[in-house]
Amino acid sequence: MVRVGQLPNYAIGGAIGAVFYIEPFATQDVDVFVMMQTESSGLVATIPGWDYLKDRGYTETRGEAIVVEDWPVQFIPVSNALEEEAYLNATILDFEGEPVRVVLAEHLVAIMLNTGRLKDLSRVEMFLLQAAVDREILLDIIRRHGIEKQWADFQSRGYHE
Amino acid sequence: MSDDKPNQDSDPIEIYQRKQSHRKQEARRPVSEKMATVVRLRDFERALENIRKANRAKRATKEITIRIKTR
Repeated sequence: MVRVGQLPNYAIGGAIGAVFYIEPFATQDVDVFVMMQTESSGLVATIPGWDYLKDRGYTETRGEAIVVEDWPVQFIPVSNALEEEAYLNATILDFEGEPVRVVLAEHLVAIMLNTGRLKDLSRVEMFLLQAAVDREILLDIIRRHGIEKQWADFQSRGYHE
Repeated sequence: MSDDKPNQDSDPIEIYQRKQSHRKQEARRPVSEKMATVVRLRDFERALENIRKANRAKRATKEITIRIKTR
């Protein structure tokens, strides 16, 4: 979609993004961060990529996701400074010879800390135990985006490396 | 045998450390292999969906009796 100009850019996040860095685990969908284009009226335009996929026969939707090759794909507009930074700094990784743009491990962890659901915190622990993050970079992101409290709460839960 | 030192197979710390070491190795596998595992897990979860639903329904209607053994 990026190649044909249908999507300005994208960054795979969520559980599938995490699998690029840590051991595989069960997940049901693919989260893709996108930057929304805002019309001059101030209204938000349709999610980029959605129409392109529909035109190519991907018309099945599941909740807020469009099903692509049996995977519900959810396009998530970046909604805060942390997500925007994650989107802008995503890295190109190789998947079976195809370049894919994936959120950096440190941003994934910061986003999960910020979201704070139990499953997110469990995955944060996986990143740390599997030495998948650069601690200095992570702490810098945590500090700059004001999620020190979430980090402290997480550490107080008895997590240990 | 009265050995104070727990053997490798029963020492929980040792088991935990081995498990974590194995998970680290899993994390370093090629992404395509890991994605294949994710797909298998996803399909397995989908296969379990109806079973879980039926189980939840049975529990809700008390069709399943749970007896917790106490001393």
